[in-house]
Amino acid sequence: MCQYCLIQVCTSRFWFNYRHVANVLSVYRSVKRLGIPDSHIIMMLADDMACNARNPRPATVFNNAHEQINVYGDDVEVDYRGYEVTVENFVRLLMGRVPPNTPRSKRLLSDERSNILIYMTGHGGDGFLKFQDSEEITNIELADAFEQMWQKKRYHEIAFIMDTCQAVSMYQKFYSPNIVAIASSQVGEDSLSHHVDSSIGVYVIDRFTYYLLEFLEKIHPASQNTMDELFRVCPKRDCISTPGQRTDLFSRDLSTVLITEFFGSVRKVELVTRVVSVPSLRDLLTTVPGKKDDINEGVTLSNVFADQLPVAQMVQKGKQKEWHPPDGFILAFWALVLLVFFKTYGMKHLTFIF
Amino acid sequence: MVKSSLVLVLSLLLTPFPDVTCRNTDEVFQEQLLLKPLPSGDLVASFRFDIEWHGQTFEQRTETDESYLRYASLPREIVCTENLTPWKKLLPCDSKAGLATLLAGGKLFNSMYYSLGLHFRPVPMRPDDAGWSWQLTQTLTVVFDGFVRSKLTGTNGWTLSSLFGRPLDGPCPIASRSRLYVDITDIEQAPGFSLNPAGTTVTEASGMDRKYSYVLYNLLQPSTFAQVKRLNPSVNWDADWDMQSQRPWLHVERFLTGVGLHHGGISSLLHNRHPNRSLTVHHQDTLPWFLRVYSHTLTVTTAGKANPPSYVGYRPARDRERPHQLELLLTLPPATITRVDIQFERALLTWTEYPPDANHGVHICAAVVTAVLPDSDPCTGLCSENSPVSFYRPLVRDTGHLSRLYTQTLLVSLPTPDFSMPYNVVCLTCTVVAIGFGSFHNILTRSFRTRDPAQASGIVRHLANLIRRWRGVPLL
Repeated sequence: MCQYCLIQVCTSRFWFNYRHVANVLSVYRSVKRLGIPDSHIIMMLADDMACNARNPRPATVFNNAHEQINVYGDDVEVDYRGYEVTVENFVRLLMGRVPPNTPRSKRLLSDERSNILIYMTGHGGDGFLKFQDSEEITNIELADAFEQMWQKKRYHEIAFIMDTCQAVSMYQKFYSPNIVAIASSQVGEDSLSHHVDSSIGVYVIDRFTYYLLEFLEKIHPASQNTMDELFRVCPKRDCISTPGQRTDLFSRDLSTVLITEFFGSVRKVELVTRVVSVPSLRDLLTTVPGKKDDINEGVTLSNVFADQLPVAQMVQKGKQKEWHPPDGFILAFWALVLLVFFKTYGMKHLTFIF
Repeated sequence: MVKSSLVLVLSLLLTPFPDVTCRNTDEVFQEQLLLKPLPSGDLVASFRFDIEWHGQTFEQRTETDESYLRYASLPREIVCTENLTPWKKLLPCDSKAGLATLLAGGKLFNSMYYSLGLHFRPVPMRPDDAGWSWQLTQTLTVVFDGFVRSKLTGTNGWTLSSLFGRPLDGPCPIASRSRLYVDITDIEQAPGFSLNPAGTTVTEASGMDRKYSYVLYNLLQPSTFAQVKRLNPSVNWDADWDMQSQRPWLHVERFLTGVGLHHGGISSLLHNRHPNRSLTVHHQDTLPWFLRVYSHTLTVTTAGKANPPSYVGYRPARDRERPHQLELLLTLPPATITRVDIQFERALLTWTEYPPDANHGVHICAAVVTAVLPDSDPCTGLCSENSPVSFYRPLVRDTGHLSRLYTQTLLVSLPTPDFSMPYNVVCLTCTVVAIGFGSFHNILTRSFRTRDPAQASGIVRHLANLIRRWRGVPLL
C-alpha cells in the first residue's frame, strides 16, 4: 500500500522524442531522492532511449547538454515498457482493474489515504494526449478515470502535472474532489523544448520540466516549500508558453500543503515519552457534524463538488486577446470592395438594392 | 554497435514436486568470473552466480513427463539497466560485495554483446545421487569491444578497471566459492605476455588433446588481497600475436532470403567444425502465423547434396491462434556446412493488429539448436576442484555435454498499410457527399420562385428614391 505514490507516463516513441523520456526520468530521480521507493513508483516508458542503437552513450539518458547527471542511473526500474504503454493499460492501472496475473510492481496499490502524484508528458493537443503515435486519451476519459478512483476510494489527494502542448485542456474536465492540476501550456499554445545536445543530436529536455527540476533540486525532505510555489516555477519569460493550474477541486489551501506531501515520502513523526490516549475511530465518526476531518470527508454524503466546468476560474492568467483591426476600418474596407465590384461588373447590380 | 537482441526463453519443467518450504535450508552460494580474450581482439567476460538449496531433497522422477514441458519465446526485448536492476536484486550480496560490484550499467551496455540469464532447475546432490536439490543460476555474458580498447590503451591489453570501471574489493562474505579466472590458453605463449598480480595457474586437459590454462584468483583466500588492497589484474601482450584459438564444434547462423514484401525465405547454416565426428542436432523453429510457411519447400543440403533429416515434425499454424512449429533432427557430417531452407509468403494483418511502429517490421524468434557435443571440452568427467567449470553440472554426463544454441532473431518487414487512410477516406467521402449529392438533392427537392424584394422601411425608401431621382430611373 503506498501512501505516497508516483505514476509517470512517457507516451512518446522514437528517438527524436528523447526529451520526453528524459523528462520522466528526471522527475523520477528527484522523487526518489526525496524518499519515495521504487515499489511505490509506476513508470511507463513507451520506448527505450538508453540502450537505443542511436544513443552514442549507451545506458545513459541525460537531461542537460553538460551531461553531468545520468538520470537513467544504475537502479532504475521501469514497470511498463514499450508496447505495454497503452491507454487501456494506463486506465486499468488507475482504476485497479488489471488482469489477475499482473505482478505487484505493475499495480497501483493505493487506498483512501494515498497522495498520488501523476506526471504525464508527450505530445498532446486540445483535449487529448497521444499515446505512442497510434491512439489517444481524451480529457473526458481521464476525468472519468479519476472519478472512478474517487468512488472506489483509491486516492486521498492527486497532484496532476502535465507537460505537453495545450496541456490545460487535459484538466478542464476534471470533476472529482481533491485534485490539483498543473499544466505547462494553455489551449492554443505549444510547450517548447529547452535545448539540444549536439553530441546526442536531439532535444534533451522540455522547458517546463527543466525549470520544474531546477526548483525540485532545491527541495530536500525537510523543506517547508509549499505547493503553490509550483505555480510560479516557470514564468512566461522562461517557458514561453503560459503554465496553468487548477485548484478549485482541492479542499485545502495550497499555501499550506508542503511539496514533500506529494513529491516525497515524508511523514510527520512526533516522539513522545508520555502516554497518549488516542480516541477510537468510532468516537471520531459519531462526533458533531460539521467537524472537518480529512479522512472521513469522502464517507459523508454532504459533499458539494465544484462546478464541472468553471471556465472563469480555470485559467489564472487571462488569455491574451488577439489584436483586432478597428471597426471603422473594416466598414471602409468592405465598402471599397463592394464599390470595386460594382464598378467592374456594371452598375446594373446596384438596382437590386435600390 | 551493440547487438542487443535478447531472446527470452523460459523452459519450465512443470512436474509436480512436493511443496518445499524453506525452513532451515543449507544454502550454498558460489560466484565466478571468467575472462577470455578472443582472436578478434574482443574480450568475453562470463559471470556466473549459483545458489543451491541443499537442505531440501526430494525424489526426482527418473524421466520427464513431456506433457509438462512449456516453451515460450519473446523475440524482441530491449535489455538495459532496467533489466539488470531486478536481476541483481536476486543475488544474496546484491551488488554491494563480491563480483557483482563490477556490474555497472554504463560499462556493461557499452559493449558488443551482452546476455542475461536466469536458470532454475533441480540438480542431483553431490557426491552421490542420493537426492535432488534446487539450483538457481544467474549468468551474465559480455563481449567488450577490442578495437575501442586497443585504441585507448595502445596495446593489446586490459585491466579489470578498464573493462568494468572499478577493481575488486573483496568476495561476497557468504559465498562458499568466489573466483576470478583469466583464460590464458591462447596468449601465454605470446611475446611480451605479462600478467599482474600473479595468481594460481590451473591447467586442464581434455579428452581431445586440448589443453586449457587459466590463472585463478581465489577471492576467499586472504593471500589474494595481501599485497594489494584491491584486485585489478592487468594483462598485456604484443599486438602482432596471432591467436590460434580453438573454435567451437557447432556454430549456427540464420538469415532471411528473398526480396520484396510478398515472398521470402529463411535459411539456417549449421557448421560442424569437428574434423571426424558427425553431430546429431535438433533444430527447432517457431514462426508466427502471418509468415505463411510452405513445408514442401523445406530443403536440407550439405555441400550441395541433399541431406534428408531423420525426423521432421511440423505443426502448421492456425491464423491468430498458434504459430508454426518445425522440428528437425539432422545429422551433420564432419567438417561440413549444412543449409536448411524454407520459403514463406507474408500475410496481411488487419490494421488494428499492427504495433505502433509498424514500419519497423516484426521480429521472428530465434531457432533453437540442441546437440550433445562430444566430450572434448573439459570436465565432463572428473574435474579438479580448481577448474572454472568444476561446479557446472551438465545434464548428460556419459556421452558428452548438452549444448543449446540460439540463432539470431530475424527482422521481417510486413506489408504495412497507410494508416492515415481511414481519415482520408472519411474526409473525401464527406466532401463528395456534401458537394455532389448535396447540390443534386437541393435541385431535386427545392422549388424556386421569384420573389419581389421586400418593401423597405420609410427612411431607406426615401434615401433610395433620392439616389434614383439623381440617376433618372423610376422611383420605388
